Amino acid sequence: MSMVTGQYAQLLAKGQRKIFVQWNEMYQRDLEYPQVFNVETMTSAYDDELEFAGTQPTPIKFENQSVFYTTIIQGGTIRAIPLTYGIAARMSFELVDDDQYGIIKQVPKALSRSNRFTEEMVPWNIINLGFSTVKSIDGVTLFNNQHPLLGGPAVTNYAPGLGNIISAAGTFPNRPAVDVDLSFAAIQLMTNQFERMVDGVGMPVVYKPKSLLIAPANRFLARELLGSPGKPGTATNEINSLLGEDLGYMVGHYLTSDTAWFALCDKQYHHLKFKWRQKAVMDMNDDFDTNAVKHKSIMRFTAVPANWVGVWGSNGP
Amino acid sequence: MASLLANHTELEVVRTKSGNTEETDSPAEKAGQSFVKGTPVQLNAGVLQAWDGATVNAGIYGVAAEDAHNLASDGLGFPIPFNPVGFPGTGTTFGKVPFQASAVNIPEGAPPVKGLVVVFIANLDTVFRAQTDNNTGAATTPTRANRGTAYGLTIDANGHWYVDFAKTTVGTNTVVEMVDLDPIDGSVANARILFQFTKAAMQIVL
Repeated sequence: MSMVTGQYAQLLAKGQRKIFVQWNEMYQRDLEYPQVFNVETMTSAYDDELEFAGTQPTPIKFENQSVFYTTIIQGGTIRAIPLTYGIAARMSFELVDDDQYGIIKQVPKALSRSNRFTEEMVPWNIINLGFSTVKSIDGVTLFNNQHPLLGGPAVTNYAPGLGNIISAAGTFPNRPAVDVDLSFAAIQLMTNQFERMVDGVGMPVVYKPKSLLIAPANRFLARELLGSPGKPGTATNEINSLLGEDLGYMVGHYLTSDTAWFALCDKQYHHLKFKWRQKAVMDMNDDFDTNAVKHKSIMRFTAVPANWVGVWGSNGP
Repeated sequence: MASLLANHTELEVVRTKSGNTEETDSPAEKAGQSFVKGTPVQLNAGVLQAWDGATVNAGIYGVAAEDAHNLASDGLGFPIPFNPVGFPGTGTTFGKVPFQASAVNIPEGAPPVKGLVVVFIANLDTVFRAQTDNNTGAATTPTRANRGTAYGLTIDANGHWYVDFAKTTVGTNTVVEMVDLDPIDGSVANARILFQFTKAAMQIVL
């Protein structure tokens, strides 16, 4: 598709008082995904990531009996394959030459803006679709109330206090059994699940959520729930017990659901990853035959939920 | 009756008339496909499968540039807009992951699978090459006199397709038209020839 003078006749004559160039004057949001995702680089056609669970708890060694031998447990593999994203624009020599306002010469800026949207949307869809199609290393959806543990049902038998947390033996949730809207009680439920978090062999581990990830529509509610000195929505003197959880919130402008909400640990504790294979490279050339100008941008990246630990989600009700 | 040769070279692109890069597409792959590189392929309800060998009118989308991946479901892993390649990213796994029935072990070096197949599109620009043979078992030696003649394609016992000189009934069993002899093979028995798909056989005329 070429851009030619006939499509932009008003750029060919002086006299326009003002031209509102959206890609210059409507400011895009700062990149949001780097606040959520661990941004890495990769150097090959794909990255594979593995998982291992440790050894079981130490059992009794009875008198004169041998110690108990055990093994570590190898989990599955998750593969990240970068895709190439590219966009280009071609404008006739005459259009570039006759544009009286320099608008056409700024098309590469618009291409950069296009890149930026795609760079944001792909990782955010890991979260948006984490209840349905996006799967983590254990082969089930990223947000799931029954993530199978590598140690199996035995580990949830001895892991302390999981009875009220899990929905099935041998699993651990990072999603409510029944999705719930953002609320005081729902945040309590979420923090309780994090407090009871165990590893693949049922040993309690530290995963403390630091931030809620919410759609713009939930920002007022989040302020009330996390900022009120008293218990939100009550006329009693109870303190707001959520304040002690030291939770912040982030508004995600690329979240697609107004009711879904999420909780994240600090980035070093979770495994949502954005992997650059090649950052955007802009190039341009003149076509020898037509003297048309071509601008092109290519980038390669992927996003992957390498593991489900450290993130939590509820898909509204 | 079998062809004279049991195995043939695969269909491949040799050049384009325009001099441009050959036109390709990357449609989602139909589940359970096991065709090999160089197989004529067709779209069926939007997903790609091996050509059925019978549909000669609007039946061939192009030639597969890679082997099929025997996907468990149509387009498994195919990246929808603004999404990465889906789990598991390969068709090659081994063993089982304890207590995680849906997880996979991927051996190092397993080919990446994106749920799609790259296809060299059958169009009026791309020139392909394939070996000649005859499904009656008769000897086949193409000559320059065969240029412009329409032929059919037949699959051999090894999954490779050849230009079948026994199929010459236009509208019934022909899908390609000979463009020239292969400049290396020349006019020898079972030589490779250069051909284009006929306009009638093209599933989508581009």
